[in-house]
Amino acid sequence: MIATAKLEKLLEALNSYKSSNNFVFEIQHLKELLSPDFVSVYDCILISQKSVEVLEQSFNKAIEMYGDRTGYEASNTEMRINDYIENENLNIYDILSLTMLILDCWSAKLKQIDCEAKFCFIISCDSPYVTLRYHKFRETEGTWLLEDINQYEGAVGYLII
Amino acid sequence: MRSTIFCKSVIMCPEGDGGAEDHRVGENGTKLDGSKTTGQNGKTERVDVENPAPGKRDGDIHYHESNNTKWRYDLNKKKLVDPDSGELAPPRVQKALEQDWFRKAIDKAKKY
Repeated sequence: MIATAKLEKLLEALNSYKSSNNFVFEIQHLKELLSPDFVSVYDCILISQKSVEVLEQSFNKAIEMYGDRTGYEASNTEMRINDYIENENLNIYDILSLTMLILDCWSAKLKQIDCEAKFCFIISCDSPYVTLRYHKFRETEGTWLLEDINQYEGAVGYLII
Repeated sequence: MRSTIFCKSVIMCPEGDGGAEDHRVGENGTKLDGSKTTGQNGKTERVDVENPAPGKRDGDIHYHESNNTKWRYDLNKKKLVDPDSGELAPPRVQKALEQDWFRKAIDKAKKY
């Protein structure tokens, strides 16, 4: 993972962290976290409950709004992990640990959908919140984040798989 | 460092004037590494601002309903719109614009 010093520090601490906390989920939220509705639309893989036809119809407008496919995907796939967990007694390491698990699930699913593509997963932490998003990595568009990750002050990083 | 250029660039580039290539929303704003929440009402209802690459990508303000449905805030229309189609959100959703916490959150978001 390419990460800022703040995220690296969190990830290092996570390696030795042993949680004794239990997670509480509504089953629908757990499904949305681990296996969201991925939809392929014109070389984008979005997370949406809308049909392919509906998303295709609005695709040009979406690209106009977000600038390119990378911008559209990164905005569309944003998921603040904390919102899907019922209990609030969890710390940043618990949430981060779960986020890494979700990243593994998403990458496996996405590779099933498009095994040729590279996906850029972006994790950002603004304690106590952790947000995960992704976009396909396209050479022509680059990453959603700035190339030099150290230009960010916060805890953020990306992993291209 | 904060800047009010978010608002300024909108004035410089109203929708459809063809100037979007020259001036991006939030182009001199703060680099944000993800979504920054500028106002929250309850556990999930909130306003977020994103500006990951000022000058390279447009900044973006959006609203999450309490059920986490996401709507984009259109700076020109000053309305909430569908994040995929840009069509106006239903009146039920637009009511959020009337709430004090929401207005404060939008004003704060524009300063990034």
